[in-house]
Amino acid sequence: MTTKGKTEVGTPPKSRALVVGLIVPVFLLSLWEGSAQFGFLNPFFFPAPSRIFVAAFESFASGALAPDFGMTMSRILAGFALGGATGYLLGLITGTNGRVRALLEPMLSALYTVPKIALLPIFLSIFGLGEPPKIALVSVTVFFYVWVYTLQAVLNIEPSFLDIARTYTTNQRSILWHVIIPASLPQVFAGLRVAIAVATLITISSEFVVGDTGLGYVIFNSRLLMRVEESYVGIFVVAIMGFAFQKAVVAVGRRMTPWASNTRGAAHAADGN
Amino acid sequence: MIEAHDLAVSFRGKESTIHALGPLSFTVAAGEFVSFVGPSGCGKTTLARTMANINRHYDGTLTVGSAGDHVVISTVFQDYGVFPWKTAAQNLEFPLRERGHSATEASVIAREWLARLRIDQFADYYPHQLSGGMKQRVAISRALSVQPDFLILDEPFAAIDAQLRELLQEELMELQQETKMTTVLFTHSYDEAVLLSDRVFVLTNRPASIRETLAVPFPRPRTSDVRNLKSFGTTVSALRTSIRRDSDDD
Repeated sequence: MTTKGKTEVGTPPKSRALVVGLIVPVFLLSLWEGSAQFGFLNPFFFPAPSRIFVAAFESFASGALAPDFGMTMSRILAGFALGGATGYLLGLITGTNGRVRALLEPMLSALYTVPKIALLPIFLSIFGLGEPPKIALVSVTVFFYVWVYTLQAVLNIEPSFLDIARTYTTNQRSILWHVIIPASLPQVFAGLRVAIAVATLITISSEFVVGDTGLGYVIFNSRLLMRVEESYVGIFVVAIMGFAFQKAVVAVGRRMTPWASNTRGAAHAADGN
Repeated sequence: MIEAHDLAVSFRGKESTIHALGPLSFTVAAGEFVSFVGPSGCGKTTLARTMANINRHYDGTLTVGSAGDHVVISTVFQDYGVFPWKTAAQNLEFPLRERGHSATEASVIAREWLARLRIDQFADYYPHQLSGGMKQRVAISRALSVQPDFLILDEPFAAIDAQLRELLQEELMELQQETKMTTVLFTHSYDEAVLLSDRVFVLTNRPASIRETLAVPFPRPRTSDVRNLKSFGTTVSALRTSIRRDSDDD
């Protein structure tokens, strides 16, 4: 934890952070552009970034990408909302109730590490085709991340805070509301940040495998149709989307945990993952 | 009043049982200010937590207040114990609301108490924006705002610089003399114990029992001017000698 008014050594101020963060991507894109222009890369598989940008502009201008963008977006958000809410609730329950924790934690640990995309065939069998299996898959993924993070956050609460609260009240609901929920919130947001990134990943992966809509489908299918630029456009849009989602979660987290604003805080704890 | 009879605390580990405290017997009269001093690790914090009803596993008997009555016990610990996610004012409002005050009342009372400890201008600050001394003032004002029957203080000023410590000691002395609340202070500072207390209990090494009880000869109401008395120095050194003797036994 850093103290007030201090940042870590070498961390640039916020205004410059964005510029600094762009240096490496811009350098890599320039290298790629140069290599393509001078014929070091096969333009059929690796079109120059400039051509990809033109394709991107055309896609947006014509609105061709909009329906797929919308589908992917709604799958991520629906899965995130569903899995996030249930994961948070179960995290609070298992965090505060030792018996329920004893009952569910071993299973949680076992399932947490299963790559959730492996569950897609099972969900297809259960839910058939269409949206439900994809949203279920995203929900389950998000659910496990948020559950694990929330459970850990509740278990990590300083016992002295609970001791102090108990000298003032015996009401369990008050302790939940005034201590357990706020004390765990920064770490919960760290979990939500990881979860939204993984939700994006899982949605795209499932779109590779089933159905004929969404950015994942565009990425995969354009390549099959030899429209490689469109495939790259999809990849870039997904990258920007994932970035924007994470920024949004961090921003909401900052607003909801103003006391944690002196540290790298909340959502940044996820960097270690 | 507080009455302990053969009070003992043990922590059961996997293989062995650690005898942490006692047996010890003592009484604290209503309105009295007593201190417990003793070598570090002797079980002071265990005793504080037991008296505050945070630790409920003990042998012997312990009565805080008259049996059957609902008593309000406030605590202040060394590590402040203020909630980082609540502003200074919210830290006070939470226990006040739990005691049944309306939101408006709680807000008014909170600000009154913050003003008494002269931190009202920081009412809407979060603890991370406050210094250690200010945080401890929030903890003290929170403990007092609920008008407790008993106040348990475990090394409340240990982490605070010397100048501020003296100031807070004086404030505590004044407030206690005014409210007459029964107060138990755990400290390793002989000077602090003598300044603030009516009686000082000297504890032995772990498991602590009471080695000696020292009556502080200065009348109430007192001020920090007693520090200048010659007898203040002799009382403090009497206390020091009593504790040293125990440490030398090791």
